[in-house]
Order: sequence, then C-alpha cells, then structure tokens
Amino acid sequence: MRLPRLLRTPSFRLSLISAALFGAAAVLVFGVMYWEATGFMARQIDGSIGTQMTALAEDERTGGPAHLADVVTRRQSAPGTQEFVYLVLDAGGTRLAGNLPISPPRAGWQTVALPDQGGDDPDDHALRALGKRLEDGTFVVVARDTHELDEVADFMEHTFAAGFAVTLAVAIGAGLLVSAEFLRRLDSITRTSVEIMAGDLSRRIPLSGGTGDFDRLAGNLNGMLDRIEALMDGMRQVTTDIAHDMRTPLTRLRHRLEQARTGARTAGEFKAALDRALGETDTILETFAALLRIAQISSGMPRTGLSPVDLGAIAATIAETYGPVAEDEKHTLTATITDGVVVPGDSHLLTQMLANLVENALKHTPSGSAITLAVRANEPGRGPVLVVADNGPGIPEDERSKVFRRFYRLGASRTTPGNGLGLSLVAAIAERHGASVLLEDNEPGLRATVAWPG
Amino acid sequence: MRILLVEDDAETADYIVNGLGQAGHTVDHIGDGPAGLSRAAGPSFDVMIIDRMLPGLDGVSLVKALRGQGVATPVLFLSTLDGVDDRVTGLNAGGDDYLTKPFALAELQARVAALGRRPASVEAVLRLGDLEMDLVARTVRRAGILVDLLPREWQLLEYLVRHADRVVTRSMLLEHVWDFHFDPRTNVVETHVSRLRHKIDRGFASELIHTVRGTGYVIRAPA
Repeated sequence: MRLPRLLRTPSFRLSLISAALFGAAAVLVFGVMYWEATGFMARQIDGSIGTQMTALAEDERTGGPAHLADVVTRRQSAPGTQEFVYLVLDAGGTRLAGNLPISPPRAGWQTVALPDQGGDDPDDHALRALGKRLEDGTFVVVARDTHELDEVADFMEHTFAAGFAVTLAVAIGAGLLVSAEFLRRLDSITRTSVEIMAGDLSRRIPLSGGTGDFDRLAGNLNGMLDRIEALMDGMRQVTTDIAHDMRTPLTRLRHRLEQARTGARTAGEFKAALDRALGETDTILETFAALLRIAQISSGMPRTGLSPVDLGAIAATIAETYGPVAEDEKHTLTATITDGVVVPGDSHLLTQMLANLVENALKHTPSGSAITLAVRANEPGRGPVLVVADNGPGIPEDERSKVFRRFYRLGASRTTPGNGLGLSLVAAIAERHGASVLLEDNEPGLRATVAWPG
Repeated sequence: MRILLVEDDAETADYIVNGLGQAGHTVDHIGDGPAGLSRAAGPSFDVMIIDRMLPGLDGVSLVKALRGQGVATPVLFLSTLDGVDDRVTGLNAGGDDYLTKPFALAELQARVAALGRRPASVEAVLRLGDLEMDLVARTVRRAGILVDLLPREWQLLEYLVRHADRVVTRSMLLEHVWDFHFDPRTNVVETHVSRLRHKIDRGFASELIHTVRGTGYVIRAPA
C-alpha cells in the first residue's frame, strides 16, 4: 500500500519526467558522438585503402603485372602491414598474388566477409575492400580489417548502456527519496489536522527548523490555528461571560416580579414594582444591544466603507458635549486639538469611541479630577493620535490588558453602573480602523491612547 | 392620525396597534410587503411604520417603490438591525426616521407624533408663547429679553420648538441635535436641557420646557 502511494506522488512523477528528459538528451548526445566517431574512423580506413590502391596502380603502370604481384607478395609478408589484405588478378581472372578469398571480384567499395576461420563471430572478419580494374585489365583489390572500428563502436555502446542505466537508477532513486520526504511531511500535516478535527485545538504541525516551502506552509497553518484557537477561546469566554453576567440582572428581574406578585397591595405598588422590573429589562436589553454592536463592528471587513473623518471636529464635539457634564460633577475637561488631522473612518463609530473613553474617565475618577482630551498630528514613526487622560486612580498594570475583555470590570467599579463593555467597544472600533489602543500610567491616572499607524 | 403599519411579526404588530390606538391613532395593519405596497399607494395615511424585513418585498424596496410613485407620506422604519449603515440605507431609501427593536412604546409614540403633520418651516421666526426664535439673526428672546445661547443650546431649543406640544425623547434629541447614534452612559441630554432651561425658563413667570418622566421632554406655551 505504501509503495503505490509513493509512486503516485507528484514529486515522483516529476522526477520520472525529468529522468526521461535527461535520458532522451543523453541518447541524442551519444548518437551524435557515435555517428561522428565511427564515421571518422571509417573515413580513415577508406583513406588508407585508397592510398594503397594509388601506390599499387603506380607500381603496375611502371613495372607491369608481374612487378605488381611481387610488390603485393612482399607487402603481405612485411612486418606491420598485416592489416591489409590484397588480391591481384590478371585480365583473364587468374590470381597473380594476394590472399583475399573473394570471387567474383567487383569494382568499387564493398564489404567482404571472410570465410569462417574457426572464430565464432563473423563480424570480426568483415573487411573493407576496394576493387579496381587497371588500364591493362589487371584487377586489384585492397582490403582492410575493420575490427578496430567495431571494437570502438562496441566499447561506446557498452559504456553508454552502463552510464544510462546508472543515471536512470539514480534519478528514480532520488525521485523515490524526495517523494518519501514529501509524503512524510504531508502525512505529518494530515495527522495533525485529523487530531485537530477530533477536537484537540492545541495541536500544531511540527517544523523541521528549515526555511523550505513546507516549513513556510506549516508555519502559516500553525499561525492560522493560533488565530482560530484564540477566537474559539474568546468565543467560549464570551459565551461563559454572557451566561454568567446575564444571570445577575435576570435574577433581580425575577425577584422584582415575585415581590410584585406577593408583596404589592395597591395599584400604585404594583406600578412601582413593574416600573422597576421594566428598568431591569431595559438594562438587559442594553447589554445585549452593546454586545451585538461589538460583534457587528468586529465582524465588518476592516477598513472598508470608510470616508475621511476630521478627528479634531469629533474631539471638539465631544469636548463641547461633555464639558457641562464634567462641570456638573466638579471635573474639568480640557481639549488640545491640532487642526486638520484626518483619518479614513466611520465618524459615528469614532464619536462613540471617544465618548466612551471620556465617559470612562468621568465615571472612574473622583470629583475634582482633571480630564484632558488631545488630538495630535503625525509624530515621527507613527500616525495621528487621540489621547484621553485623567489624574484619577488609574488601572494597575497587570489589569490593563484585561479591561478590554467583554464584561471585565475592575474590583473598584463592580458597584458602579455599567456593563463592562465600554472598553471592549473602544477596542473593537479601534481595530476596525486599523488603530491600536494603549493604556498607560499617566502618573497619576490613566492615559488611553488611540494611535493610527504612521 | 391614520397610520399604516406593515409588520410581519404578529406579536409586535399587536403591541403597536394597541399602543398607538391608546394614544388615539387609527392603525391599519398589513402583514407582508406586496400587500403593504398596494395599500400604501391607496388612500392616504398620515404616517407609515414599515418593518425592514418583510415577506415578499423588503421594507427598503417597498419605500423606494412608494417614493417612485410620488407617495410622500412620512415613513418610520422598524428594524432589528442596529447599525449605522443600516440606518443610512433606510434613510437613503426615503425613510424619515429609524427605530431599532426592541423599543419602548413611549419612544414609538413620540417618533410617530414627530413625523405627523410636519409644519412647513418657511417662516423666519419661530414663536411659542412669549418665546421668539429669529432663525435669520439667530437670536432668542423670552418676553422681549435677549437670551444668549450656545450653538448646541440653540439647536436643542429649535428642535423642541419645531416639535412643540409633542413629546421628544432623549434618543430623538441625541440623534437629531448631536448626531449621536449610541446611548451615552452619562446624563448628557439632561445636563444640556438643564442648562437650556436655566437660560430660557429661570426668572420667568411660567416654564416652557417640561420633563416627561422616563421618556423625554416637551415644550409648550403656558395655557
């Protein structure tokens, strides 16, 4: 089962295709070399036969057939010239000299097979021969053994066959190795995803520590899993929080209705009890509306449907609207606004965000606190900035990241009205605008900074 | 007033028909979009209350079709979609106001009253008892005495006077005077109305601005 899968992998198919292409190229190169080399040798052999023939024709012309026969006989017995074989016939066809067993002789180039001399391979005894009838009718044949040529050709054929086989084996082997690695990584991703599907969201794909494509893919998948896990945790957290935080007002509502049913005597008492119950219901509905709004803001595509918004104008509206509110509670609200600070955004949402931050400052600082609101243009390294700061009690450092969670309320503010959703909404609106919210120590007090990227 | 209600949820419809009936209005109820459109194009109503989500034909398309036929009756959209974008879509389609479910009956009554019989505001001076708002010079006099108002207080007073004798809710003021489409967690409206009262009513024989408990405010000339 394992091998067929290996052979079906794309990497193995790719290595097969490349092996085939390289093989074809090698065959072509070999073919050209083979053809050139054997051709060259054959031309050399033909050349040497031609030279012999010219010399013999000259001998015959100067000394006649008898002299020619002498020369041939001498050459045959001379050392170093055994590679040539001759045949000289007179005009009547009678052999004068030479030992080439050929009959009837033909003029021109030919290949002559020697009769079997006891060897087993007839190819070894093929001769290249040139026959020529001279002017006086004498017929001369010069032949040469071609075994050298055959040996070279054989050698080339064998070398190539061996090389080709080795190359092919290496290519297929490498393909199998690469495919096995490919399958191994793929299997590890599959295994992990199966485990995740079975419910273990904390599983991650193991990385090999390299920088290859598989590690990049695995890294991205792990990043995606981190995000999904965080979202799932958030969702679980919110669900639990909703269930938990809704119990309190619903229980209160139930108490009020129960009291009205059992305790109220007069129409006025009934009305008062029902009014309190209605107030409780409104609180619950407001909380749900706020939750829905946060969900709606977070689910929208970030930075779409935004138009230029003048942050200074929004801050001025908020300062003008909340100034009297602050004054009535003996706070001071001052605004420092740089004109012309414009960001792409949703002006309604940004107004709500700023209102939320100012209301937070108003609610969580004692009477007499100073609240400052500032809009600043691009500073080096960052974009526009919106700051709401106060000199109240502030938020302890370890609590600062938690206050953005839905329903999270600091111990001190548990008893003040509010649903614990204000800063969650601020965070959701900022995120929608691609801005970040930073809570810092204002020494003393809290400084909330909404910063756009530079 | 004669009111057309196009709403598919029977329970909500009952609640509205009864509630507005108690306030002295006559309400015709239709349960789906196409029937609502043919009814709305017929005999004239003073105000139409139309749900955004309707079977057959959604509220926004219904109002677009009505406006295309030249029917100019004021429309109040009802919706469970609480988003600024949805509100804008509704108002762009030809709606005059927008109310998100769930809502208090008092809120609906106030908004319906505000939509009905809109006075044509071509006059340059708004008058209410001994109060005079000169819209050109942007001055306010109470019993002939010049009252100095901040811009926001001016807007607040103008909105109240234009809806004189009708209840104006906190959220109507937030939407129309401040353009705030959220519920502030501090008493923004109360604070500003209180300051306006201080300037308009304090030291005069009768009060013009009255609080309607749990709902909002009403401005009316002394009887």
